[in-house]
Amino acid sequence: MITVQQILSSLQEYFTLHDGGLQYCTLTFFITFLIFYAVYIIVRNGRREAMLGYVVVFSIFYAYKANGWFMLLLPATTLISWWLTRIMQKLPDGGKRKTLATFTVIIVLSPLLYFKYTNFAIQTLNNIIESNFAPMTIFLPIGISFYTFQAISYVVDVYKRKFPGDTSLLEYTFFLTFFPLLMAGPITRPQTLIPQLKQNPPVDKELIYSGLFLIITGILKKGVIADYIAQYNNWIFDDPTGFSGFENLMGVLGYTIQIYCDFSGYSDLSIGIAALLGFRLLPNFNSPYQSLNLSEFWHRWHIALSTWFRDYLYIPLGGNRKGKIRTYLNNFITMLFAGWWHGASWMFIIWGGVHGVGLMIHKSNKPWLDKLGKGVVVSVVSWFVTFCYVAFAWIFFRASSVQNAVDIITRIGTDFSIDYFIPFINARPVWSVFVAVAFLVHLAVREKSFYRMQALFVRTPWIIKLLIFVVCVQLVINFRLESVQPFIYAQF
Amino acid sequence: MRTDVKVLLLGLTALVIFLTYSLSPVTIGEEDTEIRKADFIALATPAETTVPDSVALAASADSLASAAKEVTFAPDTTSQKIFFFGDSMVDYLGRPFESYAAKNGHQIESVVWFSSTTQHWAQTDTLQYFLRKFDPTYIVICLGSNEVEARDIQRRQKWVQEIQHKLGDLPYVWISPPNWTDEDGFTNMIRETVGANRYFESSHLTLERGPDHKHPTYEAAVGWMDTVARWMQSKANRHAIIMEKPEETVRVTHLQMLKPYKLRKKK
Repeated sequence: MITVQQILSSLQEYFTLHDGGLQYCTLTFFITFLIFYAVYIIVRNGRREAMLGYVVVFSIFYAYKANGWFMLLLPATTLISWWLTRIMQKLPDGGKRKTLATFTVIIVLSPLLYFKYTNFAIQTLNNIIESNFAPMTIFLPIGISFYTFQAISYVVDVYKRKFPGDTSLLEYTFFLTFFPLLMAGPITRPQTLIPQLKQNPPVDKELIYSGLFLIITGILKKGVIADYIAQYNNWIFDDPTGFSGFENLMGVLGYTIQIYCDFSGYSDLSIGIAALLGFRLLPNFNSPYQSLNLSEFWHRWHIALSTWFRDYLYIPLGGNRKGKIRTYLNNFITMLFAGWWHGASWMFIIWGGVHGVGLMIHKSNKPWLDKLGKGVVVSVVSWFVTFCYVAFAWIFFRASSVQNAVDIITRIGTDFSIDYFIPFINARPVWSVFVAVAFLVHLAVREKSFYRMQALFVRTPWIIKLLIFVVCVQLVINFRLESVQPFIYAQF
Repeated sequence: MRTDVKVLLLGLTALVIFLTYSLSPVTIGEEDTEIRKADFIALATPAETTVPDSVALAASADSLASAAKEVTFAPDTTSQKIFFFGDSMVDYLGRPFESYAAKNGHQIESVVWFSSTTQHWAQTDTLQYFLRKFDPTYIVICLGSNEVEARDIQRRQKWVQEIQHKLGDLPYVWISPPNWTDEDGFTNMIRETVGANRYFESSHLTLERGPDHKHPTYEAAVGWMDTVARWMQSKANRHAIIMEKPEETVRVTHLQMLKPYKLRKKK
């Protein structure tokens, strides 16, 4: 029996405890969002500034739940970057404007470098000069990689006059703190979001129901598929030598599906929630595993990040304007940094490097590859090679160390036997079905088909929408408690 | 009606549906096809309870403690690689156990398999996997909480024997679940199967329980572990090892958790 005191204690804990944030696929977030949304609908009818302020306050609370008092970094970054950009944008073109822009970028980037990469630098230094500096106890604020990059894009775009610098502090604060984007993006450009803050359009039925559709797809991808199949994949990557080559291969394939479902599912949820609030954001994934080459893959995977690195690193380095060799080098360097952005570990840099090498190989062979045409055989082979390469690269992304990655690759190469196929399916039927269905749906559903389904959903009656939503949430509840058998059992 | 209001109503309706089902005594479906309930109770329950000094020990446990003080007996003082496995009770005992291990020079690896039974550990490869992985020299088992009221004692005895078979010659002890019922058929069977000198009886302990009235609180589990440790280094334990009480608590870093798993029925 729950007592009133327990309820009050829970409420106190809810408002004061910061325990990693309000995760999307949880009951707590669901209830919190419903309450927030109910008040939002009322506030939205009033002054635009009131609505912006309300969302900012909620976003700050959201940041506090994730990071505790470290969340103060977010308003501090907001204030400093906005103020310095305001000064910079009034300066005429020239040295002073450039210097102030550079200074602002450095100021904005510094917390990210400190919180995320200090211990990496210490560890690397220890390895190089065989020193023994102790790592520091540094808390990494959740979301810092995302809002830092958003702030940088604002500063640079204002500097280059691609975006007007007359954004009010409230609008800019909304832009940087907007809670659907806070924890894991997508990194949104000022051109995408800020103009929408200045308008007061009527409630858009299609936008809102499209958002609900995205929320449902996000729940299925992240809450059901990714979280469930991760259990087995984690076993493999934690101890690859304890499993056969076939099981290792399944772990790699499973992780390839998991990371897509997890990340794109999260993006769907973020974009969907923003749509419920009336804001239209750009898609972040476009069926990346349908790609026929690596360049295409990077136009479809984490589009927000890849375009950010294209615009703010690759192009400033010279892009493809300085000859072939320099183009390949710029590509490679950009991919190294893109890898490093994901985490302070050499494994992410190696992953970026693998993609950098792949891109170099593709670009240098593109002239004769294009001559092969786009027949069925060529397309299938291109797809297969691309998919295998991407899956191979994920090994380094997920592995805890080079040795861990080598163990997985070695097991697949030296201990593979198709005899494990049937026992594997029998031992883990749900896992196998999830991976197979996610993979086939991903390959089969084209962009047009996706938007047709979305349009169909928008037109369905409210009761059908409710039914679909309830079924999807129930799937999360059911599969959350299910576990994958770690090992093939011999006695059944 | 505005679209955003319709979506809000959709969300609220869904919430009411889940809440109603969660609070109702009815469960739809059975075992594999069960429609599970959302855990609204956990939302309303704060993370920590606030009861200090929560263990009351029965006389029999004290007598075991005095037995451990006899001068003529000495437990094995060599460092052990302990593998501690079982059901959710291991989540409670495993934490103070790490402090004991640190104090006495032992290494410990604990694996909690939530909702597991003797059948799970007997009929899957999980136990063999961890034995290969950890290569322990000493085994501690805490298993049976999910089957204390079981009636098919003979069938379960076979699973206990299967676990014994998998352990081979490794020295092991079995900590009984801290019974919350009067049913003792299952626990009696374990004691008879593994032997009284490998079996620690927890059922007589009075432990402060959590909200489910089955699991102890974490504070109570510390006292439970103290009692287990006294027995483990006593003459009553066939494989007595040094288990002196630690002065400080260490951070828990060797506790691995496995989620519940539904065993497939034989066709």
